[in-house]
Amino acid sequence: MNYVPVIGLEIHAELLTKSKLFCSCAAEFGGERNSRCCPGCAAMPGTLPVMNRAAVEYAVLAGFALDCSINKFSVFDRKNYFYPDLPKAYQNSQLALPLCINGLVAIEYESDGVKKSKDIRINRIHLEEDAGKLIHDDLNGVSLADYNRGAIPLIEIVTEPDIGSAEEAKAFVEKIILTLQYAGVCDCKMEQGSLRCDVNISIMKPTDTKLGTRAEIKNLNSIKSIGRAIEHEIYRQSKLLDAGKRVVQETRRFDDNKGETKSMRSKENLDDYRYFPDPDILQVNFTDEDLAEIKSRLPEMPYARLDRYINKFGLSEVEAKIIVNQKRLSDFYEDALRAYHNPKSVCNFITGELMRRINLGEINLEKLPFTASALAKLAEMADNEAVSKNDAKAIFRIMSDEGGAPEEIAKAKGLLITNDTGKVAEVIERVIADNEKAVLQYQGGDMKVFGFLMGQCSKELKGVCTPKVIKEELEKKLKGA
Amino acid sequence: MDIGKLTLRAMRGMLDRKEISAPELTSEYIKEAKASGHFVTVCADEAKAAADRAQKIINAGRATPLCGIPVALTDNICTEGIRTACGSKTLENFTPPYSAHVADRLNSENAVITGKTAIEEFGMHGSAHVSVFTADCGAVTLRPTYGRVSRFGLAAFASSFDQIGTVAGNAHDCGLLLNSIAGFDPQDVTTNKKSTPDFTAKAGQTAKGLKIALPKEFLEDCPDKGLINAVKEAAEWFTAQGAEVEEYSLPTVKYAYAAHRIISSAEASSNMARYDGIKFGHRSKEDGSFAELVRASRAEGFGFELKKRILLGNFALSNNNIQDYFFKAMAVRQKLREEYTALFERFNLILCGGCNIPSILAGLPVISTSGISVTGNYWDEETIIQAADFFERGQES
Amino acid sequence: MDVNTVKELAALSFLNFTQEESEKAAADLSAEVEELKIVKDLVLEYAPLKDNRGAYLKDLREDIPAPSMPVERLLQNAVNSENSFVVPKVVE
Repeated sequence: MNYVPVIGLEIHAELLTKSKLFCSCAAEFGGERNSRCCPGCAAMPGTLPVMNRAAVEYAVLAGFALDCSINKFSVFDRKNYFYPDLPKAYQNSQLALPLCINGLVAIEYESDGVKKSKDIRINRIHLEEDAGKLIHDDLNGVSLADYNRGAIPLIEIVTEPDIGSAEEAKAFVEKIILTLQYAGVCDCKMEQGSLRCDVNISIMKPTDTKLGTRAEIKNLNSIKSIGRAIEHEIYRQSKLLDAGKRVVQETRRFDDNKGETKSMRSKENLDDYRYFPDPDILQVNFTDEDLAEIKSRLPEMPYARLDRYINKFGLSEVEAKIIVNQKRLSDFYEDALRAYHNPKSVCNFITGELMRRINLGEINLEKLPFTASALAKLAEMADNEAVSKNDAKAIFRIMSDEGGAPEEIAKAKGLLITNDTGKVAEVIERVIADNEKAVLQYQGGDMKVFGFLMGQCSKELKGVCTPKVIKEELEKKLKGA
Repeated sequence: MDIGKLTLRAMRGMLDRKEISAPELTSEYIKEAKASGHFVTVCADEAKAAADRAQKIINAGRATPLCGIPVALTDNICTEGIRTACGSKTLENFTPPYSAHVADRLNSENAVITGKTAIEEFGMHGSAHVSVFTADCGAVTLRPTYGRVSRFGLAAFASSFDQIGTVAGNAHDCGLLLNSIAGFDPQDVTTNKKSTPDFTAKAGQTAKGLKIALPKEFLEDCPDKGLINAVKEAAEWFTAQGAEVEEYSLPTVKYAYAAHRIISSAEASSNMARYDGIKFGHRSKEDGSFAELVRASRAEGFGFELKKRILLGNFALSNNNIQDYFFKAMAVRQKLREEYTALFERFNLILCGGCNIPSILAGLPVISTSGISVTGNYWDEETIIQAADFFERGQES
Repeated sequence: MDVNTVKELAALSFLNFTQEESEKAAADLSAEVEELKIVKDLVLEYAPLKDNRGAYLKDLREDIPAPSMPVERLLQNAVNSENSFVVPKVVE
């Protein structure tokens, strides 16, 4: 039977603050174990949380970026459970009064080759702390706890169950990633765990009015596995229902190798988190001015950029999307335009040569060997015919391999077109003298031989003169001769 | 010399006049401390070194009020490099790598920390009595307004009640001690940013014109008739001295004990959860899974009363009970605060006796001396010190 | 409060109780809960806003990192290995 999947997502995104949520320890990725910890990070007696202002501001910024309302009075709770990566044995989170509520995210995606769009509602965004990391030491049969990541600020974005398929879920997460990156609140590196996703999923018959029992799939760490986990879970739950069995409400884990979800049931943690307001953390109030100030920090969002690229710059939708869909690329493009404002030709270089090399894995967008203004200069030189189109590509290749400024590369390799008129005149005269027959044919009205004469000139004038100049000079000479 | 009889002001005078040196005073005090049986740790060497430093400052004529004065801390206040066991087996070998804010403040004032005094496990009833040894030595205890003194480095039991107070031989000295430890601390965001006054400013004044409330519920419901009589006598005395004393009803006081018990147990259950034997504290020798190790460590490390308190807290917070118990208790506290606020629009003080749970529930400052207690309005420690000091002087004459 | 409830709460609290302790705790806590019940039926509602202590953004800590504690001091009270807290093997 065909079932209707009902899916909600919980996305955890680590905020880009410099210090942790409750103490001044550095909030960086990696590092020597427990080197970014203080007594508070290890929950020692008498230590107290001191809330990081930037974390609150980033969470609110994310709220604005995702069209949420901001609670002007927000409360922090304790979520109590025992786990070795959680030193206080409670996680500070927000239950009743989170920072942001009622957001909306419009997604676009393709399903069976058809373009579709949908609005996904955000239930809430709350601020909470990350847990530490456990390293499994198989040799000694123990686990080792490292609290460097503990208490790094996270936002949890919780959707309403508005998502109906793996495609929609993937499109949603992609949109969230792009939005958070543009807002500057999270780097969203799923492979490093700075953005993680839990999926709540149930299925129902199209005629059902009540939702089915849901399973929660925890800690998905790539867009691809989100899609695969959902597909598998729909399949698993459908098979259960088809066989007249029931879906159990539980937490499951996705095994990337097998492409299956597995139950994570444990008897040890009962599902009663005993949330209560943390007496050590003050509730946060916002004035209208505070909120307006935070909102004003929101930079241009991807949809606004897309609109500008298409309608102001005249890029095609495909080109505009290629650029906008990677914030770093788009920022690079913006930087290049500041050096040379020809959106179309800079775009051609980016979507053409640059993307080709990136896709081939020859260069990495995160550490390009040349600057945006160098690429802009190259585009400008090509537009001004200071180098030929083909030579521009060659110069780009050198820039990719070795770095360097395009003018200097062109000069060193003798690729600069000087339009030396003396040399042009000399070559054309020689060609005319050497090809008397062809010249006479042309002057007799046989225009076809022009191409031949042009070719003779170009051969000798390559890198000296642009074809346009050769053509003009040659025509002049032939008519005057 | 009978150290116990000296007031802080007397000690200050003797030190400043060089009638006794800080090391001499400290060594006398250390002797008493060792003999008293109230100390779990006596820091003889550290105290000697601190007294020597203090003496140099006294000699230079730069002594601050507590310079060279011996002070003890309860053993739930963390002291860097000095074992801090909180009266619990779970922390019997715990040496903090940091000091509590109050310990830092005392050190920077060159007070001499002589050691750590015994408490019940994690000061379980510490919210009612600053320390167990106060009751049996006739000491005066001052519990300031919640938020007056930083809790940084005080091992938490019930966070919204935990409040470091001062214990001394009289109300005036309690105020002097409070002067040295009170104030905003960025490490404890619940401390108040108000500037701290001289808490002893009104000591020495009379009670003339003070408006004193006598809680009806205490007079009617307190099972200890002796206590009621003591409070009534004190009320008559205050009236004779020119204060206006009037009975006043606080209907929600009836629920204060239950609300205090529920909220404090709930907070304690959460605060005690960090004692798992992994990061610090007693770690069981039993092998097994994480859960088995933690359960065994906690079972071995905590006393039975504390364990019951944790169960009670988790009972009050669990899914089935949180609305009926925990949030009802939180609502009681809010209601009680409103009643107190209304009371203090008409009165300066509340005269009472016993354990003062309602005042503690509301976070009000309270001082206990000579068989009575005096509660004041939020942030008005000066007036309770005034009344207690006046009462003490009245008792002496 | 019966012995079963005590056992459930003990599991939630990560505490071991012997049968004897469970029975004692059940008896003691039953008596106590009986006294605490008086709050249950009060017509009062907890209002989070009434506990507002008026902290605004400007009152929060500035996001400036500071040095952490040397790892050997952090671990001085713990069973440790390779700069880490040692926990029994956690199977996920």
